[in-house]
Order: sequence, then structure tokens, then C-alpha cells
Amino acid sequence: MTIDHLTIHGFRNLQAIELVADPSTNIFYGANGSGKTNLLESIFVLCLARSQRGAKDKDMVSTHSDTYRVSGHATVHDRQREVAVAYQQGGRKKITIDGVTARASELFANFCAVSAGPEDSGIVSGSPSERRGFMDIYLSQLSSRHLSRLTEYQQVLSQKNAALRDGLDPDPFNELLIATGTQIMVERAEFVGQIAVLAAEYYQTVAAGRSFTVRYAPSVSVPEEDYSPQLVEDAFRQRLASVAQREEILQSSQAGPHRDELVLEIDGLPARTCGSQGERRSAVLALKLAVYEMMKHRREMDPVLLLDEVFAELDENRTNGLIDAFGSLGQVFLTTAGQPPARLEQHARAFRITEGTVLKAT
Amino acid sequence: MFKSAASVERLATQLARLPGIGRKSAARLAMHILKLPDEQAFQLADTIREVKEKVGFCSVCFNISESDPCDVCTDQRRSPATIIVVEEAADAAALDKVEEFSGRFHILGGRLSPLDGIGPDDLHIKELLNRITDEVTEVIIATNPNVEGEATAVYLSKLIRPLAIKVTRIARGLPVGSDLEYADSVTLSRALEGRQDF
Repeated sequence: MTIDHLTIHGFRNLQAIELVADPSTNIFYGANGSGKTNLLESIFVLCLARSQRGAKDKDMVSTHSDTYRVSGHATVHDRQREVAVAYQQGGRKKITIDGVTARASELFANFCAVSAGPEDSGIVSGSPSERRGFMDIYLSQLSSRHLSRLTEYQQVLSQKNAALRDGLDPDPFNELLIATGTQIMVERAEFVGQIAVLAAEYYQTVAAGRSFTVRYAPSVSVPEEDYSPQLVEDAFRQRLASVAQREEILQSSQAGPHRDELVLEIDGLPARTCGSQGERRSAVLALKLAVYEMMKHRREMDPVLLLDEVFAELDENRTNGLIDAFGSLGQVFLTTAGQPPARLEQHARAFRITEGTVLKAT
Repeated sequence: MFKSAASVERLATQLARLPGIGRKSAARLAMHILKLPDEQAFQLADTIREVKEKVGFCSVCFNISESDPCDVCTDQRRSPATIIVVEEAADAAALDKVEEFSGRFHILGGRLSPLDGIGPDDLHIKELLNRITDEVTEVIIATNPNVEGEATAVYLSKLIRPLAIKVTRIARGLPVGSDLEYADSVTLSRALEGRQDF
């Protein structure tokens, strides 16, 4: 999909903006605080009705206004679509697709966007829960069942933990934990299996000669990493039986998808503790580009790619590697604080942002 | 609200304690009761007293009943071979409308929910096991299809299965007379899982 025309009103520091986007690469450049990231955020809101950095609607409304409205013309599967997302302070978010009021789930079903930016650094350097969040956010976008399974798993887990705390028999909840937990593990394993290959390839593009390994490490070890549902279920059941005594003493659940980990290694060493800033940034970027590729395949459309300050902390070689990768991507919107790299400017549309206005389009 | 008549005020306060009744509705009901003919108002009062005096719990199935054992437990037309286990008396009342079912009930009085401090000892589970004699051939577990209800079902099935008795769980799926297009995806996928040979 591509966003062809974008109109923004009252969104953060962007009062009134109208721009015609290039179907391939678009660059927003300008000083710090000029509104580049806000522009990317508005595009993300237009595609998915939420902020990529987890901001609340009320915080995205400009201080000079009580309403934000982002609207645009998009081309999806060769069809022209009109989409708008608006929010009035204290009211509800209103989404319209082709002039008809729609729900957020319809937006997810019709449009697709992947973003990468400084807010994603936690995927590599943060706690395991951030890596589980990374897997689950994209899995939920691909399958609505995944989200309902996660919710159910969380409910069962709270009941089981309460049973352990109160000295009650946690066993009835284990069966349900196994049923939902197995499905979550199978889905995560499939997801990681798919993005691991792609992420390794993209890391090579950005940082030639270095290897990047992405591996699913569930808290329940499955023999020979064969994640067929029956084997996972058996392994989970065995594991729960073996930790039962420890769970009773510690009064908390010790095994299951809520303790899964996503292992990220650069040249065989943990990216979190051994990677440099630049290497970690490249790793996040490779992961996000892999997700992009997988979404493109599963959704049968090019997602809109939003890249926030991705050139920062990358050396010249890595920057060039990344620019080369753009050729194979769909529509890209990216921000950079300085003058955009000359190699990129040649085949991209550049927009200079100053204090919330788009000054120049070249 | 009714400063001139303290007893009306007391009635309104009492009514406001009922579920789903707010202060305004309680005041309206109190005024309505005041305007009722004496006979009708006393009948209402007597019925409330009667319910509290006469209705208790059946010592066999724990359903609400005016006799002990209850009419269902003593009904010879009902087969003692099948026991259907439910969470609350209201669930039994709903199932009792099903003409095809001619077995007996067992009301647990709740469901396993450690978060609310409810464990197996707080439910009528021991009494259920005591009821399982040679004449019982099947126990149908009809707890609600949510996390707590499912956990209760799992717990019961593990207790009963060693007794060499058939334990079944009611099916989950689509309501009769509904439209597929309006069903949520979770219900639909459960319905698919539970599909049967035609």
C-alpha cells in the first residue's frame, strides 16, 4: 500500500499540513523538535489508529487545539481508499474509511504499517518482557486469535498464582495453562522461525560480514526444537510436573510462555551485553525489516515503512547498506536530523520541516 | 426524602439495597407500595416472609427447595443414573427447561476462583462424590465456559474419572437461531473444534 496524499490538523506541533507523498522514499529532515517524528506518528495513527511510541490520544492533540485529525488518500491493492482518524479531547476516536465510520479492527484489516525508531531500542537492550511484547504485538496484528489467547492465558495465570499463594491446588489451572500456552508457544516459534532468516539477511545488508542470530528460547525446552503442537504440549506438561514442588515453595508459576525469551546474538555473543550502540541499532533495524518482509508476505501488500532517525549511530558503510535495501521496499517515510545522505536524496522526495510546517518539497 | 414519614423512608432505604435498584427507583417503589390496597401490600410482605421461612437448600443436590430432599431429587420419573453439575441454582433452573434432560442436578454453589479465595472446600464437591454410587453412570459437567468454569470442570473430571464413571462436558459453540456472520471468532473457532460427523 502507499499513502499518496496526507492532511494533518492539530496533531502535536503540526497545525495544518498537507503533502503529496512519493510512492517510494520520502525524507523528513529538520532541526530537533521541528516535528519530524510527529509526522511519522501521524502516519502510523492513520494506518493503525494508535501511536508507535505508545502515546495517548489526549497527548497527541495540539496544545492550540482540542481536536486532531489525520486524513489521507491511500492506494491499497490498486484501489483508491480514503481514510481519516480524528480525536476530540474528552471524546472518542473517530475512524472513517471511504467516508464510512469504521472500527480500529477494520483499519488493521485494510492497512498495514511497520515502524522502527529510537523507542524500539528496548527490544535488544531491555528486559525479556519487551522481547515477548515485540513477538506478541506483531502476532496479534497477524491473527486476532493470538490476542484473545494471550488474554486468556493471563487470566489463567493469575488464578494459578492466587491458588499457589493461598496453598490451594493449582492443578486444575495447569490444564488450561497447557491448552492456551501451547498455542502461544507454537505461534511464537513459527513467527521467530520466519523472521530469524530474514533478520539475518537484513543484518548482512546493513553490516556485511557479521552474523545475527535470532532464536526462540521458550521457558519449556522442546526436544530438537520441533514445535509441533503435540510435542510442545507434552513438553509443557512434563515441565509443569517437574517444577510443581518449586512452584509450591516459591508460590508462583515457574514455567510457561510468560517466561519465554527471544535470544539475539551478534557473531555468537549476546547483543544486549556485548553489542555496541551501532550494532544494537542495526539489530533492531534488521528485526523490524524482517517483520516488514513477513507482514508483506502474510498480508499480501507492502506495509508502509516508518523509520525514525535510523541513520543516527550508523557509520557510513551501514548507512549505505541500509540505503541499498530501500530499493526492495515499498513506500518508506524516514526522518533525519541533518541533511539527508546525498545518495538517498537522488531518488527520494525530501521535505524540510521547520517548527511544525513543511517548508520545502523537492 | 420522606421526612414527614420515617417508615416510608425506611422502606425506600431497604428497597435501594436490592440489586439493580437505585435511590430514585427505590423511592418510586416505596410510594407505589404505599398507594397499594392494604391486601396487596400485606400479600407482598407475607410472600417475602414465606420465602425466607420455607425455602432452604436440598441436602442432596443443594438446589433451592421448600422440601428436603427437593422435588427433583425425589421425582421417580427422573433417572438417578445421570447427574448434571452446575455452578448456581439459576443454572439448574435454566437446564430444567430442557425437556430432553431427565437426570438429576448437583449445584456446586460457585466455581474455583483462587483470586476470590474460593477453593474446592468452599464448593459442594465432597457431597457430589458421596452421591456417586453404583446407580450413577454419567456425570455431565455444565459449569460456565470461562476460565474459572473450565478449571472447575477439569478439577471435577480428575476426581470422578478414577471412579470408572463416564464424565462429559457440555459442548461450546454457536447459539441456535443465530447468524454465523455475527459470531465472534473465538466462538466460531470453538464451534469448529467441536464439529461432529454428519
